[in-house]
Amino acid sequence: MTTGSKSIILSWLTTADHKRIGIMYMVTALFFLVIGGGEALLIRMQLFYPNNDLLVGMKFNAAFTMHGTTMIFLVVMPLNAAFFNYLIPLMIGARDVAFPRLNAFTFWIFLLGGILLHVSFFMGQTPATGWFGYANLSTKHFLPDMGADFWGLSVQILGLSTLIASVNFFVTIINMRAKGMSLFRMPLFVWTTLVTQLLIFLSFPVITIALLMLMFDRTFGTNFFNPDMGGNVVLWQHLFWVFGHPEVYILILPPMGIISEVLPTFSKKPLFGYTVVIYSTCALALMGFTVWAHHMFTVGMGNWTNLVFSMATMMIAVPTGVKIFNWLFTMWGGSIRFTSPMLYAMGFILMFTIGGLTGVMHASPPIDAQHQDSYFVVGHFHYVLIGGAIMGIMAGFHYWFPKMFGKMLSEPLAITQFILLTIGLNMTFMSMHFVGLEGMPRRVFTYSAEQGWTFWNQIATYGAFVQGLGFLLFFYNIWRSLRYGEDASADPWDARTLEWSISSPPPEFNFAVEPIIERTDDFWYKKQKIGARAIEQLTGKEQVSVPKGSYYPFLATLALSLIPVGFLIFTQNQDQYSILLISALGGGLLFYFLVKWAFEPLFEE
Amino acid sequence: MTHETTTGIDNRKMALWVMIGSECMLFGSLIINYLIQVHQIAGVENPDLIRPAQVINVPVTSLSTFVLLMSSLAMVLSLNGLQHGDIAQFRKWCFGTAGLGAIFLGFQAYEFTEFYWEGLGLTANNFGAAFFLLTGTHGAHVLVGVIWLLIMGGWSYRTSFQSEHHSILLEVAGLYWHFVDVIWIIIFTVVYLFVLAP
Amino acid sequence: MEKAATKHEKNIVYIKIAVLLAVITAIEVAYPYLTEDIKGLHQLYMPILGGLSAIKFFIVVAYYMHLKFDPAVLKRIFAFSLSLAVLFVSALLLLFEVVEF
Ligand SMILES: [Cu+2]
Repeated sequence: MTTGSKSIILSWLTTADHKRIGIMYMVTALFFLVIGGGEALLIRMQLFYPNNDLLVGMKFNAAFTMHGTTMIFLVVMPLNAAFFNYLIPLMIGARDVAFPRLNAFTFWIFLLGGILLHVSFFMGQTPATGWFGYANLSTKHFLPDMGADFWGLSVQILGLSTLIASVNFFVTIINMRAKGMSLFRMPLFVWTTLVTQLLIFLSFPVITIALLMLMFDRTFGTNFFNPDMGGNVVLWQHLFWVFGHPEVYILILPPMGIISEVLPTFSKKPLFGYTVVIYSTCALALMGFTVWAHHMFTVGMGNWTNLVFSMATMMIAVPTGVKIFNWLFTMWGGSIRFTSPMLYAMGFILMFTIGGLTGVMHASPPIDAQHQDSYFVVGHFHYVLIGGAIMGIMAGFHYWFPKMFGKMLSEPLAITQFILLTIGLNMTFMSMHFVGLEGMPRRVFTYSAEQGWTFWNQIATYGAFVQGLGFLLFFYNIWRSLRYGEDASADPWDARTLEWSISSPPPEFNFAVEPIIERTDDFWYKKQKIGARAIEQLTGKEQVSVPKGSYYPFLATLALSLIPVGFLIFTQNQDQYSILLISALGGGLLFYFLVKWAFEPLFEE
Repeated sequence: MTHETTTGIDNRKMALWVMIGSECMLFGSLIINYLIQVHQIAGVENPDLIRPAQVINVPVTSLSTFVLLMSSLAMVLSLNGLQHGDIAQFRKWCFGTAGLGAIFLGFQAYEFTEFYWEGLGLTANNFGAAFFLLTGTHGAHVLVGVIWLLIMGGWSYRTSFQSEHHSILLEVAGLYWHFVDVIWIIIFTVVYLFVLAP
Repeated sequence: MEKAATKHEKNIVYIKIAVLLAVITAIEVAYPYLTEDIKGLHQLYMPILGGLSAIKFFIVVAYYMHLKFDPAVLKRIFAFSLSLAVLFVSALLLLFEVVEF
């Protein structure tokens, strides 16, 4: 290795620049997207024929568990995090986040969690609990191997990463805004990010405790979830869904913010009902905490409980509907440009509405009793997560790619991918609704020909491959653009928010002159007034000092990695408490690095 | 290189308040788990099961509660000293706080071993498990606080420590400490005093 | 108390608060023994003790943690998180029938 490439690696390893960290999040998440997508294709291949034997029994369980866990924690959340990292400081006119090195730390422990989850593959101990890890499916008695331990520890670490990041971004948005950027002048993506961080730091502690209890059950012999010894499995469901439902908003709110940026830009109109969209976002977040038991209508909580949670759930449709109409009215009468980000944003509205409508259907307990555990539910939440979250993320990706990499993506390729994705996802997930109504349960690895589910399953599998083809095109488009793409100007879309007022990609210090904000969509109005000078104004040559890199976030993560390693070895040798010294050593090293880090100056002295 | 923040509040102070918000849910989960487990064990008829009233020792814990309460006083006195540039007062009470915290941990260690000898180990029953999980998590928080304060106190002997710049750091540590104390106020009532309910 | 208070004055205020907290704690600890003599205190055991600990809780938060004198944004963060935690605990208390209507 030459010294040049070595120092490049070191500079990424020690970076505290939010833009680089954003890119690292994005690259890692796209890598996991390939893995999670591959698992989805395997599942679909297994279900292509009745009585197929490609992936049976526990292998099938492992595939859907890893698919779900990967897609939620390692793809959608980090893709959202990539946008938070890259864009939030730019959109609020800041030079970095509130805690730049902590930001690097969250990335590294996210990576650690992702790696840990996938190490289980190579040890033949893949988690097979489902992404929800329902006790007692996940207790020692039913899953004696290390799969559930890998799952629990990885999700715990990923949760820690998310929690730290949420504190960081919450403080950044409240405290690092440019002059004049009052809360009700912030771009909508910043707003949805703020609300998302609130959801994270209030819901993740609950799963932290639930996972801790599961770990104590599995490793230290307690019986929280063991009914034979006075435990209660329903408690797990409650704790899990108190986290799990807000988690859905954690996944979908940032993409909603993204399309609230994309739609105004390509409609050449300000967002319709800006404040109303903000208030309905807040309402969604609040209500998101009061509906968790709609995942448990068939548990037997009693009619009154079901009634209360059913009503609360149906009410969620109100702020959601408000947002959908605001997006539609944003386009109404605008001069629309059908670029790839715009198409994805429009796709989001349509697909998300379909997913939302089926969501309102199983808000009703009697209907839910029919849908529960059937493919209808799988169809529903994939419309929300692929038709919603992934579509929104794709809109954001195509919209901000020129800003992040300084190159334009090929529009024809991007639009072809959009068409493939839309066709593919409707083939796959609409079929699931039908096969679900015909009675096919989810999480089964096969079915027999007489059950009559073959046709729709095959359509679903074809659709999955069409989506896969779309993603191949997507990766080809990225590669082609990075190599041969034309250079992007500072403001290629004639956009409205601050990040477009500086060069593409932005300089390390973001803003040479700190912007002063006078109204919402300030940059847009400055462009109307003084034209292209609005861009030049902020892109000076002045050198600004930026946080220097640090080794400690990375070293601290290495130390932290010893803690799960110790626990995992201990689970297989539960009488040898000395093994836990590995974890203790990790904890000690972590402490040492954190202290060194705390006393290391952030800026060059 | 300190940057003016939008709200005028130091970033670290705000971050700690956000963390406290998060901890409310963390300890909320632990407390509700404890209450549910105690409720469930109350419905089981088994003379061998160890129940809260048999092991919980209110007088001893009242003492440790008092110690932790006084540590909060020591904490504010320490911060008040530093904010007024009185390094001696700061140091005395900073180490005092850490010392009182350590005494509290000693009480907890005594309590845990007592329970163990009375037959309530971690795995004896779910009341015990939930008890250890709740008070153990709290104890771990106290331990972190003790170490944090010892570092702050120790740092003050170095030349790099400047009372006018670094009092904010003690303020943040103090917020953490008080919050841990405040959680104990709840735990003391819910776990200990409620046991004596007539 | 805030403005222009000297170090010494503040020390005194803090000590007074500590005395108050200690007195409340003493009442809490003594309460179970009082219930033996006075019948009316029986039924109110949990509400009164819960109330006393809530008072202590808010005194520490308001004065020692200084929240009473801090900007609204910090108050809001704490108030929202605490209310949500209380809501969550209460909901599960009802769902698991630990407490009944
Ligand atoms: Cu839900």
